[in-house]
Amino acid sequence: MRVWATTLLLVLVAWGGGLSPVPFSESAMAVEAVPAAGSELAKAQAPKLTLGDYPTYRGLNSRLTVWIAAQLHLFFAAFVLGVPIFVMVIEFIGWRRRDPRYDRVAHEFIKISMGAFSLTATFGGLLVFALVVFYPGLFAYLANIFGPIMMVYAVLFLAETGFLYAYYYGWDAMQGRRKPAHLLIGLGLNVVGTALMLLANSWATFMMAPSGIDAQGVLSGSMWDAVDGPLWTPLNVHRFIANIAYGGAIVGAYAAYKFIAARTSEEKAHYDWMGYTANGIAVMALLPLPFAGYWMTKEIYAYSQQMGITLMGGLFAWLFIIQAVLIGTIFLAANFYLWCGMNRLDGVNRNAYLIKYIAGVLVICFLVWFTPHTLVMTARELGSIGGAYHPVLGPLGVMSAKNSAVNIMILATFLTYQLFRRATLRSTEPWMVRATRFQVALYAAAIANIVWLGIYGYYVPANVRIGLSVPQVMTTILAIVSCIVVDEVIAFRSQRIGTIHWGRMPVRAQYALFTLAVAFTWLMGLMGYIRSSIRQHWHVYTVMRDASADAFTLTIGHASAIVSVCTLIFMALVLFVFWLAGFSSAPAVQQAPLAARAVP
Amino acid sequence: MSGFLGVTTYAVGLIGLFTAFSYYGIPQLVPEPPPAEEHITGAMTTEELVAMGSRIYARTCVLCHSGVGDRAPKLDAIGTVWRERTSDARYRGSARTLEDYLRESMLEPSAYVVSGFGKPGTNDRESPMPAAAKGATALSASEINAVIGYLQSTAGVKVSVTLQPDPVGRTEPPAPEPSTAKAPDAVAALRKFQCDVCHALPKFPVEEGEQRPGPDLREIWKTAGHRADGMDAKGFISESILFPNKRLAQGFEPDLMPKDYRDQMLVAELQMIVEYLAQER
Repeated sequence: MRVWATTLLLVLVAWGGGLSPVPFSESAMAVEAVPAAGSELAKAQAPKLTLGDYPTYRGLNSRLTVWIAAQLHLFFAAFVLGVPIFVMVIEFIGWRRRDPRYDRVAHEFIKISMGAFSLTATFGGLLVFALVVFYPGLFAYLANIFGPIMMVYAVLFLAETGFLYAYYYGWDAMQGRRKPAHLLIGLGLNVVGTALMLLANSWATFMMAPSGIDAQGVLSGSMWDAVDGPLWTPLNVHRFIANIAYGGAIVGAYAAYKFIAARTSEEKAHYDWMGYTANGIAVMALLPLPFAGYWMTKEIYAYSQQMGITLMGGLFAWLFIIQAVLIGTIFLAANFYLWCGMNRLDGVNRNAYLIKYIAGVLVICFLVWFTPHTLVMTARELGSIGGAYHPVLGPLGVMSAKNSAVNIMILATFLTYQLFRRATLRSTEPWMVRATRFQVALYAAAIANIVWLGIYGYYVPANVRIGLSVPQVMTTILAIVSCIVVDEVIAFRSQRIGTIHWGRMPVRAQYALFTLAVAFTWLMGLMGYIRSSIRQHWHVYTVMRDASADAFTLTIGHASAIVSVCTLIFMALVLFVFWLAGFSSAPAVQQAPLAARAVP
Repeated sequence: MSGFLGVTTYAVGLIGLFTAFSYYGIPQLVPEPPPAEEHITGAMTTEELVAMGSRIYARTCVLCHSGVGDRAPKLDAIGTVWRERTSDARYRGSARTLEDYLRESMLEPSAYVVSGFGKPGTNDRESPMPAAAKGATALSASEINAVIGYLQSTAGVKVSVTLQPDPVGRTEPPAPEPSTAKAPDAVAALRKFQCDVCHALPKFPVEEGEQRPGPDLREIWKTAGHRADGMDAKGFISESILFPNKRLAQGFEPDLMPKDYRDQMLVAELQMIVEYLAQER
């Protein structure tokens, strides 16, 4: 990933402005916009701002304006960058399998992101204007460092627009022999979209962990040094995966919305299958996301222990309890949707009895993850508990327990998915039974290893304990990949029994898909706030201090209220996009017997 | 239409639930405002310098150098262990006195890394501690001197640092005042942190014969100055609040008093409480 991103960006940056540190400060904008700029030296340094350097406008709160614009831009950007990735994959599968159902659903997915694309650009523009108006010093400094890259970004955005329009409007015209060309356009769309994300990420990570500059903020290395900061690659990976999960969750909500409004059984079947596919995409992308998060946190600690401790050991630690609630909600909603999906099967699913155990495991793991480590208590509460930590539950608050819990949750979720998939297969040969037993043994061994590593973590120093998350993750991935391989072999050789009746889903299951979309959005808002806020009173950490009146950390309730406002605005706009998508000529839902088709 | 209303209501309700949990399910701590730079004047006494060092230490260093010793080495015995460290083969510095050693450790933390506290993979040759004069910490020479003075005083060693008044005009803009955080006086601060729940306090109502979980502090001003060698009453009270397990009163168990007051209290609040408790009556 790092090599790929590096190569891609080297080409783009070399094309857009060269790798030499171009003195963007020579431009009129930078000279006029940096209030503290009085000499040639000051132009290139990070300016020392004062309260007077922050303009106000009609009583608008600068921080809130920029925050809301940035957050809405990021919500939409994540959506429109994530959707084309899996749309291209689904389109490719449909082309290879010659199954028009995949092609139709991929087309419908991209149709939704068309409406969101213009909103992404609108909020991006709003964000830039808000930064220029309210934080001119910061914007000028960032433009000083990243000026040429900003120009590349603008050109890439034009290219993204061209690719997206060609991809969407050329869909029907580029069928049959022209399909490979259409897929190539989709590939171009994703490459350009990912490059856009990488460039924008570099500005965010530069503010968190600046690189390529000296203590005064002067660009001392090449521009590439400023881009390739210590947190850039982890954030790229995290956002790339999260965008896919988020795109899946939002199109899942679209499918749920259309399912609820559907009037014919064909429509219900179509949108049920669409919802199932979207949920699968969201869950599959969600599974590796905690690990990307761990990596990101590890790199934050490696960059600055101070920042890492601020993140995990102080006020912000409480935000991770809210995060636990949100992720618990997402896991439970996704699993609930899959459990409801058992109704689609003929007769009684022979594996359905396992659901109650999976639910129990999920709830227990959720409670472990939810257990706080450092409790802030009144003295009276402290006296009644008998110490700073609860004598029984206290040990569950540390990372050893939480890592174990999240890995087991992931395995349990995968098991749910697997049970549904295996319900239509009958093991006809003895080796298949043995293979299934092997899978059971694999689950048992994986859980045992995860739990053992978790317990071992209590007896080793903190830095070793953090490292134990790697073998735990590898255990989970190994178990899942092995089970997928075995399942594929069994599916290839076994007989199918019964049929899947797409559309035979209760409405409450559709609300589970909505839960997924809302919780994902809220979670993204929360984590974005945490990532940004651990800079505390710095615009650019350690280099450019925030001297505005808003340079303080909010209380948790206040911050969560802003996140909620962003989520409400986004969900309202998304419903508007769904409504718009209904106007365009949707491909007619054919009378094809979806019920007879296999699980993808 | 009913479907649209249904999903809208559901989404709004769910967002409301998340918000309510964040408000009512999580303690609403008020974060400290951004640190303002401490300024040293020529009129400052050594005691004031040490007090200033204590404030800087509480907001900057204690996050890692807590009394627990899991994130960074404990500094309670620094007055004696510095000699062992500077004679260690791994020592790469040039300090000959405690003052030099402390300054060196703050400016060049990798000069000596205590075993087990190095960056992973560096075999304790590289310290994860940021240089105190750079980056996010960025203490001035005077502030570093104040912290050294404070550490010397807590180690029971004579304070050797000299006052170096800040040059005129070297000022950072004052940090904005917290909107709701600071208690107006010592009594309000003691109530804010519910000290009276566990302790009997001067001028606070206490019923006859009432036993509280923590030590009686009504006459702490008489004894605090004699509880630890080389430490005055204010230093002792301050340490007891910030590091409650360090010196336990006889008959009291460790871990009963919250250890996170150092994270919650504003420097001004700590000062007010210390002054109030140490005041002769």
